[in-house]
Parts: sequence; C-alpha cells; structure tokens
Amino acid sequence: MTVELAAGALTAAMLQEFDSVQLVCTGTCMSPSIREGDRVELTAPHIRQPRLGDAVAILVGDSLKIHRLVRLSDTMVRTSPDRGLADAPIERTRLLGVVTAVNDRPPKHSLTSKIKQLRSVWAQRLESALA
Amino acid sequence: MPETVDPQVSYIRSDRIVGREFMGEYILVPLAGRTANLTSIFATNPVGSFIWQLCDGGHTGNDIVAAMLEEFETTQAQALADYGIFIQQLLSVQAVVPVNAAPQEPTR
Repeated sequence: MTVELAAGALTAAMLQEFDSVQLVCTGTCMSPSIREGDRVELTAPHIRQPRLGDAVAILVGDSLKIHRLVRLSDTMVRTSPDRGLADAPIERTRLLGVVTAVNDRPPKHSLTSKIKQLRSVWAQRLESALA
Repeated sequence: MPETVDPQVSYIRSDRIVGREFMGEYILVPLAGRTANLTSIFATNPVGSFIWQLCDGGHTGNDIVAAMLEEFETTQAQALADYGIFIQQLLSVQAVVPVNAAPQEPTR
C-alpha cells in the first residue's frame, strides 16, 4: 500500500509537527482492511503507541508503505502486508505513524491480519520464554 | 484585478491552513485541529508564497503589490493581476480571511 500525493518525507515532517495526517492510499496489499483510494489517518507514534496488529506507516527509501505491524522491539520493527510476504526488519525510527482511521472510521482487521497478529504474538512469547 | 479582491483590504491567513517550505517548494497544508490533510496540499510558486507570507492582516493588497514590485521584475498591472488571482484562489479554499474592509465614503 503506497501513498499518493504525499511523499514519505513530507508525511514524516508533518507527523513531527502535528499529531496526525490524512492521506490517500494506493495498492491492494492491505485489502480488504485498507483499499485503494481509501483515506487513512496516521497518528504519530508518540501520540498513539504502536501495537502488534496495527496497520502502520513505514518509510522505505523515499516511499511510504502502510503494512501490518507483526514484530515490535525497542529498536526494530517488522511489518507485513496483509497480502504478501513479511518485510525485512527495519529500525523503529522508520515507523512514522499508526493508522487510526480509514475513511473516518476505526480501522478494521481482516481475518488474514488477525491470523498474522496471533502468529506474531505467539512467536514473540515463544522467543521470550526461550530467552 | 478581479472585482472581488479589493486592494485596500487586508487579508490574514486562516488557522485552517499552514504554509511550510519543504524540499525547496512552498506548500500550503490544510489542517483540521492537529491533523494535517495531505490529500489536498497546494504547491505555490515564489510569487504565491511571497503573497501568502505577507497576508498577516497588517498589509493591504496595495502594500503587497508594492512589495511585489520591489521583489520581482514585473509591472504594476501584472502584480495587481497576480495578487488578485492568487487571493481569489486562497479565498476559494478559505485559506485567508479579510480583516478590514476599506472605509467607505459616507453617503450623503
């Protein structure tokens, strides 16, 4: 899911100054939770702490991606589109915001995203138990 | 100058839109409270950003046109026209509001 009309850097700059931004998405990798043309509201992570299972915006190169948060540590995050393979882990500082509304409504989770969320929670629990 | 933009009127920037310089461009970003709406940002040219920054409620259209003549190589007529067109565009998106109408001649 990529962002139309607003560059990732602009979104990052705006989220440092304001609590949230609204933008329009393209792509189908988060469908049906977020569809092409949906207007999403991203809230800065210092306002709304990211949680596993949230759709989040990450900065990848110059572009902004909205994917599902599947791993979260103090320094790193890992995301995955609802349709497709997980992304490589990235620094937590590249997580720009949390999707807090889609077309002015609270975001919905698809069954696929719920399964990914459960899987990631259990994977983290297992890792902590083994540590 | 379009009839609807009186050069004796001062305009002030609305708190619904902020202007920011970003990567060499000057853009206007609509706000709703503490939310920046990036779905409808406006990019301005140097003349537009110059006018925008002088829309502080303290400069009339005449003041701004005079400043434009000092800042840019242009004619009075062209500066007036550019000012009028840009203010109309700003008014159409409620980016500025008039702060004082020019005093009217008393009717007898």
